[in-house]
Amino acid sequence: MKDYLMYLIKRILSLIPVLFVVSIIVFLIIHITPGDPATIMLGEDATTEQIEELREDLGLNLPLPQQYLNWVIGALQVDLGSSYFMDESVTSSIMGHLSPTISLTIISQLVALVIAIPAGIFAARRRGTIADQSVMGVSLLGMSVPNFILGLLTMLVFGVILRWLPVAGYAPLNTGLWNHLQYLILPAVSLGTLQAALITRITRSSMLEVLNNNYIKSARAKGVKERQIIYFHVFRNAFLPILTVIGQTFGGLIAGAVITETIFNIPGIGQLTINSIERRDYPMIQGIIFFVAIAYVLINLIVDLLYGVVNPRVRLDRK
Amino acid sequence: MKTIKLSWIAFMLTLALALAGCSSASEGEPKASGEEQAVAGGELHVASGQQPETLDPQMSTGSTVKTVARHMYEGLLALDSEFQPQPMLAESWELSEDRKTYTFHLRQGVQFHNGEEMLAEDVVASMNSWLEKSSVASQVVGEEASFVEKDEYTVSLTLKEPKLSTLDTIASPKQFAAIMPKEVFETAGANGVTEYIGTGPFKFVEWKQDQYVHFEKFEEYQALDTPADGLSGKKEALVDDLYFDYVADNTTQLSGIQTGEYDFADSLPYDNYEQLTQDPNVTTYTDLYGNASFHFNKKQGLFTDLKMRQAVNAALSSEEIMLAAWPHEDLYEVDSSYMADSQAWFSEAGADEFNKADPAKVKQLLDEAGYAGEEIVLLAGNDSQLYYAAIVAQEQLKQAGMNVKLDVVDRATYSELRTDPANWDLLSVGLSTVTTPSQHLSISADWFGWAEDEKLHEMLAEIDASETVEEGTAVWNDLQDYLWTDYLPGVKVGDYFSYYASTTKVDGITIFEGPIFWNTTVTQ
Repeated sequence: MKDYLMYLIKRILSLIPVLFVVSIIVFLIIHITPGDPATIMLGEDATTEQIEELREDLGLNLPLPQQYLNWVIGALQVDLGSSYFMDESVTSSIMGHLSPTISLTIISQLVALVIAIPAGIFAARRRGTIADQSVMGVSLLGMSVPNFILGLLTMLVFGVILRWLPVAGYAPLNTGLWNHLQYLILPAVSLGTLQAALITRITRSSMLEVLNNNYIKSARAKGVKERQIIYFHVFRNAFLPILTVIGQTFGGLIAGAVITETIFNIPGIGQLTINSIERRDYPMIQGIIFFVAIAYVLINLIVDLLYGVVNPRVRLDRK
Repeated sequence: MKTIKLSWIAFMLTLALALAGCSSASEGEPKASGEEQAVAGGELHVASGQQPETLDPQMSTGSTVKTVARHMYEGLLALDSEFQPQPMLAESWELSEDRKTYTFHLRQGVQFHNGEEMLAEDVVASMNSWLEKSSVASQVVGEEASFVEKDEYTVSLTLKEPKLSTLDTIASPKQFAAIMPKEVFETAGANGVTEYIGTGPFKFVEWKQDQYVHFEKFEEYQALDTPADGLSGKKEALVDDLYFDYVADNTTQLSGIQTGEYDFADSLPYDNYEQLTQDPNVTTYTDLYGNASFHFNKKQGLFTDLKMRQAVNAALSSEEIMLAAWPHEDLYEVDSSYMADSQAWFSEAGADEFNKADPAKVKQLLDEAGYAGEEIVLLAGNDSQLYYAAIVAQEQLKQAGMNVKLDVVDRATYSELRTDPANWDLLSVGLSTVTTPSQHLSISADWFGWAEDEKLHEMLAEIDASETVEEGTAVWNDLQDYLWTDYLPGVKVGDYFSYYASTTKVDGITIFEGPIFWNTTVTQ
């Protein structure tokens, strides 16, 4: 237990250098990129003089190191600054955009798992058959189709032609579960497909590796039922690499959400990111990336901790 | 044992889902879906391709700011459909003998959305704030001029010199002179006012970042009894709630208008225009946006030489450029006038020099200019149809023997790069319609391209000093001729239109400098 705690503390402390590096890189990238909030805010027809004036007023003319220092001092006090465009702090903006993304990510991941795990097991059991090859073929297709194409296609078929589901938008959960879900099904499918393809492939190969082990052969020799062998012996042992991929795909889902949220008009973190970049809302961009970096590291941490739960042989002292 | 642990993971996932649900419990209202019953009154959902940069219309020249904010704010004057200033919050005005002092008489009993009456002190605070923020205003009205309170319902403005376009500028819908209570300016920051209080037919409810701007009917609104015309006359909020839903993706807007998810959509794919005109459930609207132009950098580089500018003008063929970008004849016009054809300022002067596509002349001009294949940088944004126009123009110029490099960047980068004359030679721009020639950016010395020509500004001053529009248009005729033949600040290739669509449930939308949603109903 003590080891566990030490490990946790160590991992959380390791966040600090990660965040420091991330913040510097992000700060530099967004300030090197041409365009700034003043030119956007004043609109197409603004003159150079006007832009210069607003820049001065917004503090955009301060030297970069000073701007960075101001930001770091704020961040250390859990103050990520305020948006240039909204009368709102970065933190509350991120919180306001969080729940659509969390819902979308979870539903996409569920979609992915529901498709991928059975498909992977199925393919592994029928290795080399046409069934196996078809599953692998479909998963290759799933990995290759960009999710915006899939998004637009599902929107066209289920939203415009069949009219089963709304084409775009978002309703929070407090307006009813079905109302909430109906807006998220299409985006979740388009976002989950890529993850499903990845997880199917890793499930299959990981299962195959375990299937060839001697203890499986001896279980078979003992006369254990095939179904039991697959689900309780093979799958349990094959699950670690699958879990790793699931953890990684969470990161992929956040990245994919940027596109999916824009297409389906879901006001989540992805859309906030795109909009903030387009209008060069510096504090907002920094805040979001900062936040996503923390989330990414934490998800990886949770996955690592889950290893021990899933497979007691993985002990933390081995790290 | 093993089963228990697997189900533990399942439990965690469920828990996470439940938590996600809880955290959204405080979210705002849902978007109306197509299944909802639409009744008279009810909600109007406008899919807007851009989020307003600010809701302080005095702050920004952005067109989304203009379209959204005018539902909540009003100015002293408003334009009718022929671009003539008409009374709005001022019921009348007079001009002194020397044509330097304007006196505005305010309508009495006009209420702000906060319940207070609009008085001269509010008008003075608002108008002076506008003079400070708007570069067009300070250019036309002059930096020193300011509004002064005469009595509770009278304000005046004294200019240094008479200016013909004063009233047009005050009435201009872009970066417009919105009247707000004087208190809001006390809490305003560098990025504009943060309390949104106006006198318009709709009042501000909520701006949910990246989702919507929500207005509701202002019950105490007192409409004028003159007929509605352009932005002037009688305005009535006929729906209870007006939402500008931010929908960035234009394909999503298209699907949304086809399924009735949105009542109105403002940024649809141009390629789908024809399809939508034939859809029985959809009404389409076109809206003159302005001039599609290629602007010269006259401060430094190759195009400081008039011959080079003329060579570009002689090389371009308008029809091809316009059709590539706005792929339907409803959506563009090949026309050389700087001002719109619905305006008194419309002129065909200089049209002989327009749309020549004359390779022999180009060659001659390039030889005379001594052009030896130096690189010409054409800067274009990637966020509008102008991008396609730039591609075709690049090709035409290349064929005519010019070495053109096309620099395509996102909007923010474009806005930044164009401020420095070292970055570009030729700029692809869409210049929105203005009410008087002196507001035209292509001939402004301050705007990108830097038209610092002496004769040009002398003639502009002459127009501004003229007593009547007729007198002014005569000078403008000569000036436009001069611009096409002897100066060429840029090459206008044509006029282009925005297009919008609504479902047929919506009735009464007016299009003037963007869509107008007062006097508009949504029925089932």
